[in-house]
Amino acid sequence: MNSDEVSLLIKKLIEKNSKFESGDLFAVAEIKDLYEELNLKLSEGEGLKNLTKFILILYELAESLLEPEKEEKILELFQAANQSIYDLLNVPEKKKTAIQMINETIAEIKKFKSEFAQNKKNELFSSVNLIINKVENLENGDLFLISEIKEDFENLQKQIEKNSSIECCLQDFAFLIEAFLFTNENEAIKKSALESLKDIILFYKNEIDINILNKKHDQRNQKINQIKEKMQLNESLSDKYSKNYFNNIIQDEKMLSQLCDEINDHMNKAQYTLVDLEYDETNQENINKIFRAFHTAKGSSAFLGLKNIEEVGHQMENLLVLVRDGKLRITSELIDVIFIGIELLRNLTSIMEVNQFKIEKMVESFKKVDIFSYIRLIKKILEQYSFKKIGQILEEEGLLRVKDVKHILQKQKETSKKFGEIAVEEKMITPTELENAVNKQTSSLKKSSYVRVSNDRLNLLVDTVGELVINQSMLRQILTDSKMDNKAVRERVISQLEGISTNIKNIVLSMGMVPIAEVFNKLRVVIRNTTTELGKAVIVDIRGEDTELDRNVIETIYDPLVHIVRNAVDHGIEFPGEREKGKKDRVGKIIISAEHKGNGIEISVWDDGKGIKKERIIEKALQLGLLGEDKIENLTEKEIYNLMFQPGFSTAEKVTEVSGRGVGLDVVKKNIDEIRGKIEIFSKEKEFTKFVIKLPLTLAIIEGFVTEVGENKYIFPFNLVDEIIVPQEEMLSIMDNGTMMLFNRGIYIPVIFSGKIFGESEYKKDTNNLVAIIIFYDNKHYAVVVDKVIGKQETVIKNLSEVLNDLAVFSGGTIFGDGTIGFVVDLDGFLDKVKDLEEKIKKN
Amino acid sequence: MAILIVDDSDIVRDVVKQALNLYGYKDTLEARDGVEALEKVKKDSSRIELYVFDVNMPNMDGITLVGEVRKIDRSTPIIMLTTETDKDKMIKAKNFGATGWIIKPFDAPRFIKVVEMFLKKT
Amino acid sequence: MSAEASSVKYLIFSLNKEYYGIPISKVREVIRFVNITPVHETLKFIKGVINLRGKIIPIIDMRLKFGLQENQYNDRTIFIIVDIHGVKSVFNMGITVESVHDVTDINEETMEKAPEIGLKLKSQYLSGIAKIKDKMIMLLNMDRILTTEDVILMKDFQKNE
Repeated sequence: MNSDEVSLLIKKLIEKNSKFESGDLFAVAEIKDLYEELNLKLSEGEGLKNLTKFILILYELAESLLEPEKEEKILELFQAANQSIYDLLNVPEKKKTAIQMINETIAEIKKFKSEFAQNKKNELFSSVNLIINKVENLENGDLFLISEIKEDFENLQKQIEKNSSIECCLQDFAFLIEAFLFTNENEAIKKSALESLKDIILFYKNEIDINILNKKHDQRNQKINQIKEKMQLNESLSDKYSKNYFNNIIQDEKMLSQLCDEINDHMNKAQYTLVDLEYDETNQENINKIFRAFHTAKGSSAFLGLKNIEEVGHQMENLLVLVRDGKLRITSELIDVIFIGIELLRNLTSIMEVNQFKIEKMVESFKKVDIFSYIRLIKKILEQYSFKKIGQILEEEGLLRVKDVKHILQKQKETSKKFGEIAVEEKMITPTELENAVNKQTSSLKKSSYVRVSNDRLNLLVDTVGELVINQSMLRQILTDSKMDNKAVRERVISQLEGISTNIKNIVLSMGMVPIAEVFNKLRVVIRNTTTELGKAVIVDIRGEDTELDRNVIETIYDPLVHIVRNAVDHGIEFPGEREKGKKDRVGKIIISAEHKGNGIEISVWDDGKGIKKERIIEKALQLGLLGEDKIENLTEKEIYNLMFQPGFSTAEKVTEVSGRGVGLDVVKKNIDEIRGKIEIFSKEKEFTKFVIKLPLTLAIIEGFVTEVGENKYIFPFNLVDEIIVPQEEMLSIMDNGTMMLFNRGIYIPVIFSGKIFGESEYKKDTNNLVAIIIFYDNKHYAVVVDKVIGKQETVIKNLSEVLNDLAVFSGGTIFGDGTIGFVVDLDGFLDKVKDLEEKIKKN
Repeated sequence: MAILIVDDSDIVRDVVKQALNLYGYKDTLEARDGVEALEKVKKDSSRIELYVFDVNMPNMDGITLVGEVRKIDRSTPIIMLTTETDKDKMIKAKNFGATGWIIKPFDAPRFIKVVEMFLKKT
Repeated sequence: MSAEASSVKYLIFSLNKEYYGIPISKVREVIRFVNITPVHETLKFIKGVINLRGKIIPIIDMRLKFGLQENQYNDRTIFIIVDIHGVKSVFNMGITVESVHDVTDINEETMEKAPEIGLKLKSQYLSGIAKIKDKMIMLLNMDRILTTEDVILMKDFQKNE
């Protein structure tokens, strides 16, 4: 026996023990292995028989580490055991205490084993008692509590080992629960169902303890059978159905049978979808599917006069509308409710089938099925989740008197207008008050600040990452195992890796994107409110609302857009009379649009109002000292409009309710700067004003087209690159103004030497063998000359530091596989620079 | 007796299967997702001596699958294959009736060691 | 040297035979020369960017920044990566120095306010001057070193020279 080896083993054991994590099969296997090995090593030594026995006990105990409830104590026992074994073998002076410790530990293990059995029993008892408690508290049709009990019962079931008598107990239990639920009109049945429920639970309790039940089992069976009989005989239900309830059923066996098939089909689909829904509650399509299933069931049964099916279908529909509109969240309870609905409908159709669609028999059986408690249950849920009425809120706020509410309700009957609209029309409340009330009404449903990601996407991501991990381990294997290292394997692994990372990229990017529609719809409301407030009339045209933007960008862009839109209504659109004089439509027009453009997204707000007076802006800027007199002459149109973004600038001649709220366009610009966007104004006096916001795609990864110019690499957005050409001398010509043009495919394209723009000193200048990439941007072609084309590559855009923020030519940098850095070209900035340079040349 | 391997990744199934074959467990069943697996369990549960489930799969995930299988087969051990990020899920899987888990990536000997903990080959 | 409560640790480096100090709390790390990717069309003293474990970090040439003759870089050139509290964000920046001397506790009491005149550097850059033995150490305020205002002053300063 090698004592070094032994102490090493024990040390390993102590370490494994301390790092053990619940459920980790490796760790369990390793601990067992280590004890086994230890046992083996020790059995070589003399006089250690007792110790090896002890270790065998530990070895067996290790298996139980897989049971979570035992784990903690076992680890504790192991800790004591390992330490004393170590002491016994290595520390002679502690030998005595170690032996004592080992004996104690053995005693404790024995105690633990028997105690645990008792504990488990006690635990089961207390869960059973809990269920009894709940059963006693059962109120009529409290489905949520029932589903809780059901769940408790199933959990209980799991804790108990397989046992046929308990199995059938559960079936009885399920039956009783249903009996309880659907016969709650009949107190007697309910009572005995409840009693039997308790019986079953007691039976359970006893089963746990000792098996003395056979006799009792029989008693219980008897009782359950009694209930079953009573339920069969229960005629009282038929009172619930009014006399004529089933009178309108159409006597057409063929159609009825078709209907049955149809409903069953729909219910199957609904059930399938419901399972999906449980895992992805946000899936609108699935909610719609279930909705349609019930909708169709309702429609066709109504057609054939099956009022009971129609009513159930109708209530389900109501419930699902709430879900569809996001007013009711999908919970497991709700899913249970829907399941029960599905079962109920299936029950009804099976009654039809069993009675071979003979109406009299069908009706007889129908009358035994209580649909009313179910309908009541749904109504209860609907009440709970429905909104407060707007009128109620306004009344609570003290804005309307009870009399007013009645008055409006009366009016509402005559028109199709909404309550709030009438209240505003009657000048009882202001639009703002209404808006507040509406906000209050929906505030309970406001989205929380955390991001909701569809489960599908998330699962896909986690799964893909899992594949990545596998791939990584394969890579490792290839690197360490020379047998595996052949070209084919390597290529397979690499191509898998590429596939996986592309997947991950796409999933991750899609997670943060939301359509701008939500913002645009809010703007519509803002415009409507502002126009009513000001007495103007405006048509709103919204385009590209399904354009997806990063969630954060959407949040930041909202305030600036509200400001711009309010400005458009307040300062842009004229009053109807004024418009008529100006030979415009009385109704103004505002177009809000979003679209992908180049490497980013462009959002614009256009109005056909009075436009911007440039003189007025200059005047104001002079007054405010934002502009020196000497500079007026050289101002470009763009520069004039940009003055409006200066802090403190406001062109409104009088401060109005709507726009004059102390927030100027400077704040708008600041907000947009924050998300690395650009804002520009276009206008023509008396005709239009257009605000254009250009946002970079926050997609941190683009398809890049890598080129080399001078000493650096520059990346152009791949989607803008039309083609690469090596122009022949005769394709190039110099224009009068000194610029070079390239004649390609029938058009003249301006040639841009990118080296000049990038400030590279050593770029290819001679016109022989130029390489030009043809870029198509903003409806124009440009031939950008580069030194060398490297090719397409996925490019991760990294922020260039704040220090380099002035470099508008670049939207960021990137790091290549070899560690070198390249710069990602921002086409707007690039072309601006081109213009600047041209102007400089002109001036010289 | 057979071992049922359920994973939507062809690579993982391949690796696991190869490892099992290498150590003499030649009888393996495979499924790509929970739904497919459940069908096999319904048909063959008496023949299966060990389950190996991935956690994240389309159609029906591994955890649900554990719950479903436990309705049919209470005692056969279920080993979950997981990535480290999934620890919370593992607790859930255990509550559903999984026997334990193994963190990906693993090598064949380690995996086999765990398998043998459950299948004492004679 | 006793580390009293009011003393701050400074990293001392030299440039053109003069000594400068940066509070050690601002220093992220000190690295040896790595290849610089040049950035054109920006401020003259920004030499370019480097790849520091996947992050792109701008490099400032302190000699150029202080209006001194540019020196060729060599393997012994050292980059001190510092944390800068910029206008919009906290970011990293590298400065090039010729050599790093040591880390010294500088007692607030031995620190003098920077005099307005008689110094090559504008006092905005300086948080103070310390005298250790017979060495004058100029303590730099790194956050100020980049603000536009200072850059303009720098240009004026170059003209005056």
